[in-house]
Amino acid sequence: MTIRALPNGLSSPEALSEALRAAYYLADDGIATAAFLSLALGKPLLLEGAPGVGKTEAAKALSGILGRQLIRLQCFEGIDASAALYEWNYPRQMLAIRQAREGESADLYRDDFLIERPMLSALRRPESTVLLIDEIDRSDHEFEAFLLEFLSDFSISIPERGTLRAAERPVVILTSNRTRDLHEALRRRCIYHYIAYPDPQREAAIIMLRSSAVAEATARPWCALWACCGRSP
Amino acid sequence: MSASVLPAASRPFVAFPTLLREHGFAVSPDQTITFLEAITVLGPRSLEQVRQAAWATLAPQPHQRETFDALFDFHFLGGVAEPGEADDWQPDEEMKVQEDAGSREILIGEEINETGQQAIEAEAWRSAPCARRMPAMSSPVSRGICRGLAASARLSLPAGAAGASIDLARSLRAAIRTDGDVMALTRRRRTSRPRPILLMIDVSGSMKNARMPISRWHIQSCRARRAWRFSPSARASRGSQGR
Repeated sequence: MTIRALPNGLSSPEALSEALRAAYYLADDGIATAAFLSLALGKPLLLEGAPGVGKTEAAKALSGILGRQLIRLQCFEGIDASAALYEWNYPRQMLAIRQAREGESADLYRDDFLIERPMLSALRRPESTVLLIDEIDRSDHEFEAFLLEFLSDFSISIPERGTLRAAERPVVILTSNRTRDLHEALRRRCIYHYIAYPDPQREAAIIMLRSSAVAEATARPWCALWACCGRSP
Repeated sequence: MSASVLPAASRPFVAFPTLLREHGFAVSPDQTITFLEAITVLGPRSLEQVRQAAWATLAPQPHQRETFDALFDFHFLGGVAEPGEADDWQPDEEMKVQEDAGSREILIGEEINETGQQAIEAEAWRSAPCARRMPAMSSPVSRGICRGLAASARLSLPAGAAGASIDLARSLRAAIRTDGDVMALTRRRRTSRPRPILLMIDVSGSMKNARMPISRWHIQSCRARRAWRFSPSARASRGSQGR
């Protein structure tokens, strides 16, 4: 069993919950435990829930408290590996061929001809990035299968350059709006948490944490109205 | 060399995914390992943390969460049966339909393949007081179920009517086996097969308050030797059968 060293102060789900709160994200016990386990075990975190319940915000808050850059891959129908991994910069390659002297061979597969896409960026700098694969349910089954391979051993094969493997397991967060069921194989590779709509108390706490000024501004005229009537709200 | 025997303290955590699989959850061995790792990492201080680790690693679907929780409560708060205890049991074939040329007859009575032990256990379970069968239940809903069960048990064992009568079909079959000679007339025998109980569980929002006792009763009944469970899908377009 490999347990990843966690940043100082994040030694328990409660500590992580406190840190998230400081980053203006109110995490309940479930999401704090899931995120803590994901970080400690080095497994991707899969967050499911209706749109707007705070899945992407959770990823942003996590990257904030870890002090890492958030790399976001927004999924869409028809997304493929070239949009997620890398592309070759063909115009620059053509230019390099023209500039090469006769008889000389130009190296067309150098690093500067490679356009990094989010997954390759996260793989090359796992210690300083958090990869957010957003709305995975919008992608096709083919891309989901491709993702399975990526998430199982965190390596990418580039035919012209060989296999690139992450030096350490990157922090990966996947989100889904549940517009379709994800494949069981993908769910099994992840630490899973379903974010439900908040109950009234929790929603009140979220409002007070994120925009207490709005709540107070709304309350003020309402209180004034009740005061005019000689009653208290 | 690593030890091959599972530590006793780990057994409940390994048995829980087995229980989940018995109830239709798809849990892979890899997830079981992750579950154990999660418990190790958390060093759980309460059962609630074990539950959260189970949610995170065994990944129940949102619509399965209530069943998952009921199973968790049953396993970690109620009685725990060792996995494999009743795994070798197969449902009895209570009624065989034999089709001959032009005739269709139902064989009952001694053709029933019911081992004595299973029958005794099923009967003992039925005849035990309801409180002993379902100790965790004390709500009005469970008392209603108990009353229903008692009424059902009375109805399933009616008093004999006119005594034993000749079973012509079986007598004829016996005669065919002995080249047409009627050696003895077979008489009908009264069987005490318990009447099946059909439990339909309403899982809609209006039944929220009665969810836990009903789920517990459902799980208890599924663990009895003679129980089948049909789980229709949300649109009731298909059903899966389980024990």
